[in-house]
Amino acid sequence: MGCCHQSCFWYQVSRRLRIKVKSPSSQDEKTREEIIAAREAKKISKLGKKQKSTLAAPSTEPGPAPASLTGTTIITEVEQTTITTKLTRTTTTSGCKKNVVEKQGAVAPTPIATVKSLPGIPGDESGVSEKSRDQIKAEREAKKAAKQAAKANKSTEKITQQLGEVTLDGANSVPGKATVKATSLATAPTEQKKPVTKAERRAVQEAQRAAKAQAQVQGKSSQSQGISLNASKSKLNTTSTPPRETELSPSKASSPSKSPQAIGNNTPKSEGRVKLFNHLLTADKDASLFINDAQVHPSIARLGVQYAQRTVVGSNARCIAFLHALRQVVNDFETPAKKEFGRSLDAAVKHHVDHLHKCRPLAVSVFNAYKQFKNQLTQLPTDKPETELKELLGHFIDTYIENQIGKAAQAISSFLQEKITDGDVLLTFGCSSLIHFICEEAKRRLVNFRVIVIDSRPNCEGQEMLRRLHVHGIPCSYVLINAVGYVMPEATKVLLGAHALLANGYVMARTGTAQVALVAHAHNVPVLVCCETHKFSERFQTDAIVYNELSDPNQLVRNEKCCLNNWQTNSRLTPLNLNYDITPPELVSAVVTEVAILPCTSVPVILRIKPDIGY
Amino acid sequence: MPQITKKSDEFDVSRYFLHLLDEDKDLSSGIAAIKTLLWILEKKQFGTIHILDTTMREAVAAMRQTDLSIAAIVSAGELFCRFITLSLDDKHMEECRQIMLNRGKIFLTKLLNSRQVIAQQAQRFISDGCRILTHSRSRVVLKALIAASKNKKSFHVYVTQGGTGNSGEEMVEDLQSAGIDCTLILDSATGYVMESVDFVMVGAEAVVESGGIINRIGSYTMGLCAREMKKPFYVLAESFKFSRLYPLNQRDLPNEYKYSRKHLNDVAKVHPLVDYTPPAYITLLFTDLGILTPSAVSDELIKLYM
Amino acid sequence: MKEQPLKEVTQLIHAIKVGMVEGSYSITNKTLDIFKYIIMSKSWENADALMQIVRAQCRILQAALPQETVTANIARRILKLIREEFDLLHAKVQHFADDSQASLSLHKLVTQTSETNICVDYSLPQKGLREALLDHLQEVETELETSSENVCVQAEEHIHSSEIILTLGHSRSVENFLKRAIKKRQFLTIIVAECAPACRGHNLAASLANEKKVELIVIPDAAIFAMMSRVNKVIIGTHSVLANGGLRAACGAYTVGLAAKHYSVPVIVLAPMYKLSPLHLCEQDAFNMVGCAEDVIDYDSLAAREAKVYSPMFDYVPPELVTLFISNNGGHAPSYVYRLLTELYHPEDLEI
Repeated sequence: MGCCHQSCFWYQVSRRLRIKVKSPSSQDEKTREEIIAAREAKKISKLGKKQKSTLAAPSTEPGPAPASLTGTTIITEVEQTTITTKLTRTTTTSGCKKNVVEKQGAVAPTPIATVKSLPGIPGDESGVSEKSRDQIKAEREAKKAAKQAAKANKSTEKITQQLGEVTLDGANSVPGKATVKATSLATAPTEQKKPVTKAERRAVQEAQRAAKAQAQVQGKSSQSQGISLNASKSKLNTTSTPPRETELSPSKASSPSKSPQAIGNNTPKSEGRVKLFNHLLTADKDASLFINDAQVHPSIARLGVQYAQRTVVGSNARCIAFLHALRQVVNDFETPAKKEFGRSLDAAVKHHVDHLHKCRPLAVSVFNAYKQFKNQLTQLPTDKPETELKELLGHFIDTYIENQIGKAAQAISSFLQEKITDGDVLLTFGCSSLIHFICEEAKRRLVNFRVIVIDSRPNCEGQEMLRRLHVHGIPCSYVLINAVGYVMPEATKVLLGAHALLANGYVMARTGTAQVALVAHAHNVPVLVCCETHKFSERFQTDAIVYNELSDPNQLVRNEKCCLNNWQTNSRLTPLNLNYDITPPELVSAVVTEVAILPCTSVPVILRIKPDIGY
Repeated sequence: MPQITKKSDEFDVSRYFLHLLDEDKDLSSGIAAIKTLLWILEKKQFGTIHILDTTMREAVAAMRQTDLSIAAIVSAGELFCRFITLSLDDKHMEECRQIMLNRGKIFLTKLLNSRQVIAQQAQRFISDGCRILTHSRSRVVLKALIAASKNKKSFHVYVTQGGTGNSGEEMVEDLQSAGIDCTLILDSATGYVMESVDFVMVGAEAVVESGGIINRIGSYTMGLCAREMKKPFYVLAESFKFSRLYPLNQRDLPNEYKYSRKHLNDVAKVHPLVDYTPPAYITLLFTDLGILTPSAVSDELIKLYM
Repeated sequence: MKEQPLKEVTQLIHAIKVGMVEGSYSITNKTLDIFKYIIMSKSWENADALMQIVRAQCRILQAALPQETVTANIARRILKLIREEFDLLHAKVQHFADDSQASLSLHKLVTQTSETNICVDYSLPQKGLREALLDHLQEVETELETSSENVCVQAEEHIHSSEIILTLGHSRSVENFLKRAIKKRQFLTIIVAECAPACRGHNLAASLANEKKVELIVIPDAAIFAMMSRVNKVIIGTHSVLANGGLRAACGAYTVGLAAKHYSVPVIVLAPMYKLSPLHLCEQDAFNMVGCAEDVIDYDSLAAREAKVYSPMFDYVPPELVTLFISNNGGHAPSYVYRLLTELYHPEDLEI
């Protein structure tokens, strides 16, 4: 699999790594487990935000509550395979990790099933990790059975399950609804699996659609949940396991209520749009419109919600999450009769990717991974049995994660370790997993340096970076981006992460990166952008307006007393929350990739020699 | 007869001029020029202002014949001549002469004090622990740095060699004897050193109307480097060095300024002694008239000459 | 310090520190009142004594509030006033058309006619000085009151229709200026950078949103560079203007200036004359001050445990980044600031 020159290339990279990096090879074995652990940890920390634990499920593990409660809502890039162990430790307590280690011998699907079913228990932080293997297996079997039944009957059962899982996640991650949801779903585990007739289900759906129509804004969510609560009591579930006992009602009710805030720059009124960005505003996206989609795999649906809710942020994290979900899709995929595996899977995956794109415009890393996967599909041998093909694809996904993200991070870090010397003052912006990894390595090598973290509203991702660096004992300073001119004279180097590298040499990164590079250039401080090659894109762009992503303008409103509080009522006032901006190549001294340290203008060269990357 | 007197006058002029400079090493050639002109004013008798003017100009021409920094001589001479012919009422010649002598003496006193004033102004900009880059040897800069070190400030100075001759070494010696840390560097190492210094401080042989300066060869490169590395470029110059010249580029600078007299015939083979630094590369000028931006220089000159 | 502060001065310092009096305009007004009170009081006999008192109080104010240069500026204006009135009444020195003894210049060097210094002896008693001073002070007061209006009046000259204007934070001059522009021009789009952590840009946006026919966009500070490519003009206020034409402005103004320079967008700074200060950047040990770091990151957050957090209040903007100053006297280039300073203040008063 894969082109031979790719393997040559990796050989070179790994050879370099062998010389430079001392990380134990045993880490590779654990990578999959670590990935899962990390995902678990992410879910746990997300759940950990919920204060109530109303379920009866016993918990012997000390929940990850303390760590995850203090953790931020944004779970930034967690998954880098070789660094996953360390990251897992920082984001969760040891409890979860132990749990994962227990399952070491488990077959791949099982841990994933664990991961998937975790959010099924709402409001229960500690009980999450308590799943026994049998329970998981039972859940999985039931799910599979249900899926089969669904496919056979073409009933809405699967929808139920999907919705349950999906919107349960959504329910969990919507802030401020903890109490209501917890109580409403408290009834979930106690309900038994009962056959649901189509008519009943349809009635329930009608009720929910009525509820959804009412739920326009946040404030009305509780009301709709009240309605849904009543509806749910009468609802019957086919699933056998507690997590699967989802109510359509809370799910559906919650989805419309969270859709206004989850999806893009979507305001109830049509004013409050910035004309400059009209091309970026899509039609009002209502999550429930497509969340009902029968053909979307639950893991993809959940991922979509995670993307939309900003639970999973960061280029690498999104890519890894996508690939895990994709692997699950592949494993659960059943070729329809008289169709070829490769082509039908291709169509199915395309459908899933479209779904994700609707939830949140695809990250460049995700898009590239998808392209690679598609490429892989076309090269599948046709004579092998399906299980073997699935294994091949699974293996490809694992290799992709391992090489493009894990090993690339190591290579980049080894390049940079030569540049970081004693007495250095590194300046960084926002939170980048790669930069964190590099700093960690440098600290391990006992280099005496300190870091200045620049942060910006409204997301304040820099606080997460600060927290992580603090764990390693790296002395840090912290300022907001307007004070970057104040701290820049002290800095000796600027290290920036990137979302993508465009083909004309421009760097696409979080809003504010270009400003930091600008001030650094004015002070003659070298700017290093660290970017793995899987983030290279063939797009050309010269400014940040022609293509960008707009996120929720309400994030700019600070609190109730803020002057912008009722900006929707004023047609002239619009807050604007841009996600990305473009840094011109003259402001960047060097781009560090796993291939080499390049000048910013050499991106097309890499695209040329590595034709299979960067779409 | 007049010719002979002229010759002897000329001879006297340049000899007196050189004699003044020999006596006091620390004297600027511009001030020496003014002293010479004052001496002529005292010694000679003039019938009319016109003759006085002509004599002055001839004396300046004679001084230019000596091979010393012509820019300062020219500007000082210009200034002196200007002030002589300025707002003189229709008084008797003798009265005029007395007035002019008086003025001249005041003028001279003020100018002699100018270096002190400039050094005083520059103190605020020299902070503890700063690193200064300077070009070759400038007495004004030397005075400013010594004053700063007397104020108990500790700093480090990088001195460039300044081309041919050992002016750089002389500067280093003077600084070391005053107890200041310094390093002698090659002229070509200016770019290398620039990122580690805090600011650049140079003297000037003349300040031209555009606000730029004429200084020892290598100053232009230093100005270019400083601007590129975003370091301030400060010029310390006395006010009598303000000249009415307006060079557009290096070539536009008159040859007499750039080459010594004996090489004027064969300029293609010789390297110039001075170069022109445009005002865009200069941050501030420290003069006895105050701390000026380059655009203020033109203002001063306009006020004087118009 | 040997000088004793007057009661009013102490009260003013207290009021400023506590935040009861804020904004350059109010501080200037109050300081002017103090000096007016001093002039009206009986405690001085001649010009010299008066100048001593003024200088002493000014030194106290400067020591207490090193960043508030408007107090020193007003003091310098008053000192110049005293000199002028004294000379006028004395009619001793023949003055030249423009500067008189105001500034050193080559011209002056060359044209001195007498050997004695021009230094006027201010310790001679002079009748009618008090009245003359109070009269002139009235003019200064009027100028101060109308400074805001005079700045706004120029809005029409600098803004055309359908412009996209960027501004930072909340400056009263900018607010009035933009309000005037909105009234007179169509289809303006104003992008306000919120200027964290105080986010005073929100106040400006809310205030401007009451006007008709304007589109307001509020952006976080991080998006300044991203939006700059579309901006036609940048209009900012400043805390004070330095002698070389540079600014001491709200933190974030340096980034705005750099981004504007990158995209060749003109930067217009609204600065009434009382903000012009003859100090240079280096001379101020206390150029910048840091504010409360609580707004930047919570004290009790896990992330902030061992980190050093800064929240500086001011930024230095070098004169190369500024295109135009608009003051109550009209528009000036940054390279002309030195001239304005010579007209406003006497060279001997530069060091109080």
